Amino acid sequence: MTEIWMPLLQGLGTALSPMNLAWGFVGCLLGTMIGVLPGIGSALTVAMLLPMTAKVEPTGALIMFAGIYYGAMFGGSTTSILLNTPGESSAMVTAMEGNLMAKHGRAGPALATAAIGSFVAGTIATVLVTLFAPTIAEFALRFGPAEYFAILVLAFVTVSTLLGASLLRGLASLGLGLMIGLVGMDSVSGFARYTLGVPELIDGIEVVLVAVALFAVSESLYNVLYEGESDGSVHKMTSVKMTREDWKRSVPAWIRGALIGFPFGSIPAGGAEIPTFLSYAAERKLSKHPEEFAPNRGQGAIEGVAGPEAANNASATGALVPLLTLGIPTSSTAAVMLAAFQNYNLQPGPLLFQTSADLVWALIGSLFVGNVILLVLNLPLIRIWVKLLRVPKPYLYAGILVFATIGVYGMRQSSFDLVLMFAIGAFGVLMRRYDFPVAPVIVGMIMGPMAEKQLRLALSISQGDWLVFLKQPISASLMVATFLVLFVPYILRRRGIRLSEDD
Amino acid sequence: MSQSLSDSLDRTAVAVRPNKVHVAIGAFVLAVSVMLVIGALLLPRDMGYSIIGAQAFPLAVALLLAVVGAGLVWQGMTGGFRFLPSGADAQASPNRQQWQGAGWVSAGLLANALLISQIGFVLSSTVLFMAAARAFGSRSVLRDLLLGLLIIVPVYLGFTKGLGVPLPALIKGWI
Repeated sequence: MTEIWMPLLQGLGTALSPMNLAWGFVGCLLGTMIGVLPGIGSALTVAMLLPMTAKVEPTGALIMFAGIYYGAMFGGSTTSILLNTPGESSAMVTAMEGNLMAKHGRAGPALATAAIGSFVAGTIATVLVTLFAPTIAEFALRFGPAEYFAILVLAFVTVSTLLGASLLRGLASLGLGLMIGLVGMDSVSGFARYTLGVPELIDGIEVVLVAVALFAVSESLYNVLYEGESDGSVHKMTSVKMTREDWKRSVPAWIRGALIGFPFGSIPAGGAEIPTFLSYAAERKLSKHPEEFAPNRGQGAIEGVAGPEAANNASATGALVPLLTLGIPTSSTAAVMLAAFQNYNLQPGPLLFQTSADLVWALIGSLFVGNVILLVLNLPLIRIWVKLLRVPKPYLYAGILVFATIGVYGMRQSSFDLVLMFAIGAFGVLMRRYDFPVAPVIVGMIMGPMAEKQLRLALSISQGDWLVFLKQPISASLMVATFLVLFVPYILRRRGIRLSEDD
Repeated sequence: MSQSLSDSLDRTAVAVRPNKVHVAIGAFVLAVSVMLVIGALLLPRDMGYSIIGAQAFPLAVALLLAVVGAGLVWQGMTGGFRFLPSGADAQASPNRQQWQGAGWVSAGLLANALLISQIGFVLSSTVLFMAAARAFGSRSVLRDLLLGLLIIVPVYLGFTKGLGVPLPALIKGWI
């Protein structure tokens, strides 16, 4: 135990130093501010705010990021509840049930249970990260390239299956992401690949550029092309006080949600919406008031907000386990965070716990602190955040686009990047129009080069024997898991485990 | 008898009518795959000792895209993509005004890309801001200009002075 306690206390100490605390506050504020804007998910918030941390020293920057991450998630749930515009699929359940509560004059308690639930679940999940991450990292140190490659393949498949409606379209997006990841100089042979003779492409295409293009630019273009005038009706805010009954119904839902969410976040399987759906289904089954739930045309059940919101938060925190211990991002937000790490020449993975232990522990410490900041900052300020929902659409999107250009231009001062951002954004409109998920593009882009490197290493160690992936027990079982993941969704679908179809 | 047979044939024909756009998308993915293969084959031979060279992984990605593209074409031929969100097919194509809006957003982004190194971040972002605001229905040019400057100037100062992110200042050569 002591080997966890000592560094954890040190990490908390670092996170609580005045400067880092200030970064945490700034991160939470900015994250909430951007995340609350309608239609902006946490991945986009993190991508847009990434350049802000470019010149901050790594520890402070990562602490700020933790704040941005949490703030964006909280902001997103506020928007979902009051506007019914989920910024990402994992907020869909909250949007459905919370909006129903808001419609019936219970916006305040819905927001409160979401906020406190996020705090509870975030804290539980952070405790679990603290307990498990060092062990997993130690275990992962024994992984060779073959195991790594197998994990990456598993992550590829799960991410593209789970982040969209159709496996085929998910894999198409993944393939495009892998292709974008190929562009640039090959690190082993030094050949320039797929640069079409364009010198700007030799360094490869920045992840943040693609993320901002696919999320911000294509969102704006899609919105102007396909969305009509929104009714713009924001539900009235009510007092955030929860009644004793509300508490009694929320607390178990938070804990169940956290316990459902964490494992899903921490296996390299992507897709925070699965645990939110599961938690929702569980709450609906266990509730003494099933008639209040949305599918039963009720008035909105507080458990239906508390559970999924907790699950969402716990799985987002759980996603830090594969990110920190294996260097594998399992969500687009985690992918952007990985890009942030790489900006500091930090390669997340098992070695990170040894080479930059103080930084990792400061980050974990700041997760605890960030949770508290979020709670003390956001519940009192909630009325201000609600005002942001009334930003007129022209200025909302104009602002988003300006920030998008800062993010992209700030990295390399290249006009070419801005044109590329526009082109990829326009392509993203087509993807959205035909329901190709965009998150696997980002994940493929980040993990493609990693997979290639591990594949080459594994095959040079095995002297070109491709069976190496099936000969070693860990990689073999991961390969089996990959095949299962390819087919299990179809079985689930046959059995009718889809949320949206019946209501 | 023959009547009912042709009826049922018609009905199956309706059920599996190819969706041209979806087939085209599948074909596009296939074309991308072919492009990857060509690109991989054009790479120079690896001279050093290596078990697999720079071509192998691109070829694997091409294989993935080929399988996926073929699958998409097949789905397109047999009635269109599966598991589309309800109402995706009924989605109206954008009207004139919406195309104009998209035109304004695109123009703003491209203008910004071309101008940023010439007239500086503040002015070119303001151009983008005004174009985007117009795209989304704002009709007050002066208000857009003032509001844009009001937002962008502090952001510029915050990023350059506060955070040290280099953004081009005013007109090239002035500062």
